[in-house]
Amino acid sequence: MVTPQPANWYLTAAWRGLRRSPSAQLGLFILCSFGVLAAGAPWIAPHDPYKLDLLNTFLPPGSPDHILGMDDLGRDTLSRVIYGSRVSLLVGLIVVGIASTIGVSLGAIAGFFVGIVDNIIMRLVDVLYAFPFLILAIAIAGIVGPSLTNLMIILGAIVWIGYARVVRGLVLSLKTQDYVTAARAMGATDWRILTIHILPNTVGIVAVQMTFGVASAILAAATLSFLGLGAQPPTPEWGAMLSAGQRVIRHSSMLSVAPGVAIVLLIMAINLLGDALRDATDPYLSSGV
Amino acid sequence: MNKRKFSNLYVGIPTTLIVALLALTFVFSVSGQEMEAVSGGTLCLRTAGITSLDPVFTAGDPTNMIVSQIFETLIRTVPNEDGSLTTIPGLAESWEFEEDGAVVIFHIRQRALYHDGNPVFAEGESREVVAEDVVYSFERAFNTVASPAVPSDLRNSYESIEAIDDYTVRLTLNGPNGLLFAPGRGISKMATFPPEAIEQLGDDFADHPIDTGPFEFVEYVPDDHVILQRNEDYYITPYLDEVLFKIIPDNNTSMIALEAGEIDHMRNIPPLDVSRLDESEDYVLYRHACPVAAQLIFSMNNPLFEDVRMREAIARAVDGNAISLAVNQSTHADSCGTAGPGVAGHDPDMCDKYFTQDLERSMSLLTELGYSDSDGDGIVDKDGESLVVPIDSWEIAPMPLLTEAVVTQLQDAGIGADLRVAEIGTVISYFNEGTGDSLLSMQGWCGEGGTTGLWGLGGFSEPIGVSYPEAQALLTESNKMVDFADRDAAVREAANLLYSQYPAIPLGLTYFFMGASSRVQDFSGQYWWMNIVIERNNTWVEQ
Repeated sequence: MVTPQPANWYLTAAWRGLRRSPSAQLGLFILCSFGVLAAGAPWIAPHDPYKLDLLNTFLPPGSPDHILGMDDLGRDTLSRVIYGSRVSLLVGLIVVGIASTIGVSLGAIAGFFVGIVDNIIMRLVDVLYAFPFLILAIAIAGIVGPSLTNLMIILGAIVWIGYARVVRGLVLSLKTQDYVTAARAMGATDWRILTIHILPNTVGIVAVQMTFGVASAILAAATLSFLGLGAQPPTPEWGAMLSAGQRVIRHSSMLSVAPGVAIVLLIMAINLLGDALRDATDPYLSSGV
Repeated sequence: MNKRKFSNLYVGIPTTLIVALLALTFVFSVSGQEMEAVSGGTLCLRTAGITSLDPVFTAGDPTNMIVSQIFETLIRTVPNEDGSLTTIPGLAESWEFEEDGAVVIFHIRQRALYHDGNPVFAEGESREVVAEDVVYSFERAFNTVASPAVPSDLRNSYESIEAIDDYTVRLTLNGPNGLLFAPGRGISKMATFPPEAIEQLGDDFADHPIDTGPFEFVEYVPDDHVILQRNEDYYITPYLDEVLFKIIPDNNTSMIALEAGEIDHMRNIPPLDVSRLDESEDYVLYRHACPVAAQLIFSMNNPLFEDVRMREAIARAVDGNAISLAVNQSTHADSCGTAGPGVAGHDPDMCDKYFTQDLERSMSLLTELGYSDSDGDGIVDKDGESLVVPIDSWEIAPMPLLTEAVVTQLQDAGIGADLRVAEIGTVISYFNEGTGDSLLSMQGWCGEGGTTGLWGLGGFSEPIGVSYPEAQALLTESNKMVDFADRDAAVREAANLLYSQYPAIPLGLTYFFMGASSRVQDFSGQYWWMNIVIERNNTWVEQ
């Protein structure tokens, strides 16, 4: 059974967990750094990431003015990695935004109203769970066509099922709580009970899920872009850059290493942060049970 | 040291020296000799992908290289050391021209037996090819709409084919055809096959290809490999036991496989690796006879491209040769148009005449068409709608990278572009089925007849609405010109008529290289229809 906690309890717990965990602090620092790079890319990136210099292709790392060298079309690798952080973070946030909106809504409806509504929603979830996530994403991308916008919609439309399952379980448990019974006795409508009394109590757990969701979405987007089903050239997206880099890896390994390291760092940072948040907001772990 | 040991030393040292001298003499004498061909072994080649093993439907050289081992054509072409090509007998032992070249009489080889031990011919129960089989095979290809085996030059000149007797075939054309024996054109891909196989197997013939070629089909595992085995009944006994084609779509993965010794041969060596392989003693490089043009072709299905000013504005925003040089490096050849140097129709001034990058002209043409950057986003617009050019590129290198650079240059010129990279078969279907409505990025059509094959009547670009009757009539006429100089002048004139209308954006020319391990002996590098065992060479592999 889920013990309801005041909404600000989660914030306090998260802050406490963050202060206690050096790895979470490292994760937050890296994530904030990428955030700053993404937001300030036009000012931070030394060059235009699209600018071709066809006479200076494959400039090696450490070259003057091009610290990570230049790619096979003479574009500055560092600038493309910096701009790539924009795409990756945007994809992560939008996918999680879409998925959590759909997943939380449907999960809450299923858990609250049960019966046929619950059956329909959860069977749909079961069907989607039956498909390997990446295969399903590739199949849909193949049908609707490859683009960054399509990629975000596809990922959002698939990964909501995780949120729906979690929220449904929470709602099923929360709706039996005394304070919900009290609200009902006072004449509160279903809509009011669900939105005012139940959903706020799912925020903490959903927030942890969203943290991991951002990491998964970024990784999935990079994977699909690597396969040519996501961001299309010449967009500086890490997965697409990795794919382009592996074609010339024996001539310029930096073209694969730079976006690869960026992906690893960002995913690691988000996961470190997510782990700390999960531990801090888990009543059993935080109370030492 | 005692006396006995000392005497042993006196005997031992000279003996050792003599033995060493003899051994060295033997080694040097062996290395000075030409190696003798060794029978047996497997030649492992890389193919990028397979379309259909039924030669009437085979599209693309990666499949042609397999089909050309199983199937026999009337003639074969082989490259000479100077890069020129010679026609040699295939299924036809000899041929002669009549009526000024409008009629060709082929004398086909006797005792050319179909492969046996398959669903059509049981082991030892094969039969020989007769003239009626050749007639059947030609008619099947001609009756198949848009068969890749029938290039437009042949389709436009073909009148009839008939069997005079069991071993003589009469091919009648509407006039002489200067491209009749040209590789990739004319009858170069018109294979013969047994009619009973088509009747018995129907569409499954592609899964059980049967003919008289030097190797018999054994197995095709999609996305993995094709195995062929020696045809013991072929008129030349192949040295090789087997030919294995590994399906590896990516050039760089293939390159790693070649250098790891997993394959003996691959087409399309990545440009960055050409110089290195050329300097290595472990590999032999074969240069394709003609440089291949990369182009972005405007599909006339899209109303955006109807106005020639729009096509020129887009073309003038791009510096195709600079992009190609950066991407293809030492394999790049500066040129515009379809025909490269040494090929009929090549015009060295084509770039200067039509395709110099000129951003001012591009913008002035767009302004004439009513476009301007009214919202200041860097992309011109008209009636509130930004100009965005849809582009489709196939995924085979170097097209995605070339096209990526084009997109950037277009955007720099204020023209938006939406690039989609798709599998090669999908992009070819946009042409063949006429469904493409974008700027289609492709590479090919080098060699004699390439301009006709791409732009002529019934050519590759016709289904996407490309039609310039005056130029096409000239191209049809040029096919009848047997004299190179005449054909050259006619095709050049047609090419100028065509390219002055901006049907495409040229992205330079590239020389393709195939590479083979130096273990592979007596191999004739040849694109299009690959010759592993022919009259001129019988490939074998050092064990």
